[in-house]
Amino acid sequence: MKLKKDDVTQLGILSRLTIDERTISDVTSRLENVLRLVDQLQTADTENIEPMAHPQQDFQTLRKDEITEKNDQKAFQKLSKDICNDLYLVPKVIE
Amino acid sequence: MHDMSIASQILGLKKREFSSVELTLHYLGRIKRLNPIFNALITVTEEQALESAKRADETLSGNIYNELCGIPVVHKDIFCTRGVKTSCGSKMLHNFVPPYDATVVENLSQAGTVMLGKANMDEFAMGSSNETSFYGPVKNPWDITRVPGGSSGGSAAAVAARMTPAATATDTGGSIRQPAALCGVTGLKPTYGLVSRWGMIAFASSLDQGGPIARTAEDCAILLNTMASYDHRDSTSLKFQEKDYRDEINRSISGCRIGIPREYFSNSLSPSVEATVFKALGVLTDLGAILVDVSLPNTKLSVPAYYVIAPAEASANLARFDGIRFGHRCENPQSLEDLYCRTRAEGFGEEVQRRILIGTYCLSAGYHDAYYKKAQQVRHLIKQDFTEAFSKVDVVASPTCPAPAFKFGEKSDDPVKMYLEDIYTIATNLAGLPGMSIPCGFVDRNPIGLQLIGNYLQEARILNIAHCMQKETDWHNSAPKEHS
Repeated sequence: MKLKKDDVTQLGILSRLTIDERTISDVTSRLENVLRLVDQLQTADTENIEPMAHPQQDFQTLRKDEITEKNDQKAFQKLSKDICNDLYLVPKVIE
Repeated sequence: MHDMSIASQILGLKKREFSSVELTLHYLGRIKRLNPIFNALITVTEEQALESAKRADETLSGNIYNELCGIPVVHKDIFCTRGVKTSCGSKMLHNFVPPYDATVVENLSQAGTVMLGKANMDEFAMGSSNETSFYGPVKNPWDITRVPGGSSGGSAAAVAARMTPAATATDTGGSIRQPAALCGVTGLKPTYGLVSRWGMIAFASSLDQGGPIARTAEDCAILLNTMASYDHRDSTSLKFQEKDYRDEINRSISGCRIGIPREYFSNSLSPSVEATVFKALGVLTDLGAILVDVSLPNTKLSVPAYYVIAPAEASANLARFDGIRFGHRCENPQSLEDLYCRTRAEGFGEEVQRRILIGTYCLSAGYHDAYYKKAQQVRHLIKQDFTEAFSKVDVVASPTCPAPAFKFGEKSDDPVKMYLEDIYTIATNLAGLPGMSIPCGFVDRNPIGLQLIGNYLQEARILNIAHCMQKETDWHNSAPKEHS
């Protein structure tokens, strides 16, 4: 699998990761190596094989739709750098 | 005291030969002396430990207490600990102090264990050498020029260096068993769902599983008794029949059928490791076990399947680290997009970023079926291989790793070379089976691990075989001499 520089830039955008222009060729070549490894999957005959998403895919534990945890908003918001009136502050989105 | 197993320490505390405070002070003294050499712990919780030890001594003076009461333990820094920094080995969580305990921490804390500190680890559990930690690599106590394995390298090294009798750890592709093997200690990855993942920072949710690292199989059984629990807060938690994992630990293994997967003894295996493993298997046959040739034909595809599934799940799980609600945030963001992108580029290390990019690639439009769906189908084939094998044998045995611990820097420039380190451990995670690594000898003075894989919920059986072997051998009692 050959990746173009633009592919990697686009991946960075989708992943919300700034990729430094100086490292992009290294990043690209290492990603290509990993994709070469995973391309070995194509040798497997998987016709009529169900995908296995999970070791317990035959069941899903459900619980009653009831509130079981108390609201710890204050404790959790202490972890943020920027809080105002119980709201998380982010850079201005709409001018 | 540090050469005692947990089982012996429990007896010592019961007979009042020493107190939990004395035991705790002893280990804290060793940590103070040895941690600057090995870098096994990120945080030492000295004050908190002494308070817990005092409380444990008070409890021990009564008649009702859990057998782990007063026993020191180190938690991998992936488990949330209320009021104690939980970094996951990352700059991203360098400032994260959780307001709650993970279920594993809660279970062990309610049992009266004494937390000595938090163990170093590969960043977000992504690595097999501990070289990806933001806090610097852990050194292998057997040879400080070599890696301890990963990602639970801090947990394994701390037990090996006798800085703690027990450590919690997690295993997504071998992260309990591989470092246990390279550090000469015993580590158990339980069946997926046996140990709650609640409060355990997620890497790949369908693979992650917590478990114990200790010196002996018996100690792992004692720890698993408390660590395993049904947890309604984890939707993948198993409702299982609770048991004492020590009940069958002394059972005879005569007639036990041990599968030897021929694909695990291939060209990638070091001949000296192969010879060491077969010598150890000889101990089991002397006890009456029968070795049976089995085939796990899709083994070679386990690493490629894992490096689609794990990064895909990681790219989704790690999306929560956006610099807004907790964790690292970049300075002076120019826009919301800039805040996300720079925060994540600054907060995550190279390996974590690589896995996010791979995961995003495999899940992106046009590639989903070719990579992700294909990997899930191969995962099914791998599970079928084990189902077939377990129709003929009770357990499967193999080397834990293809070679002894490697030198720092030897594989860090080549991700694929590093990924192949987990060739013998990954399939167990993909299938969701229990597996463990026990010390089985040395190659050039470096420890080697024997891996035992059981069928679903057959932890008691593999612990039984491991314990029988440890009663006949002394490898698990060997300790690194240089820094003892």
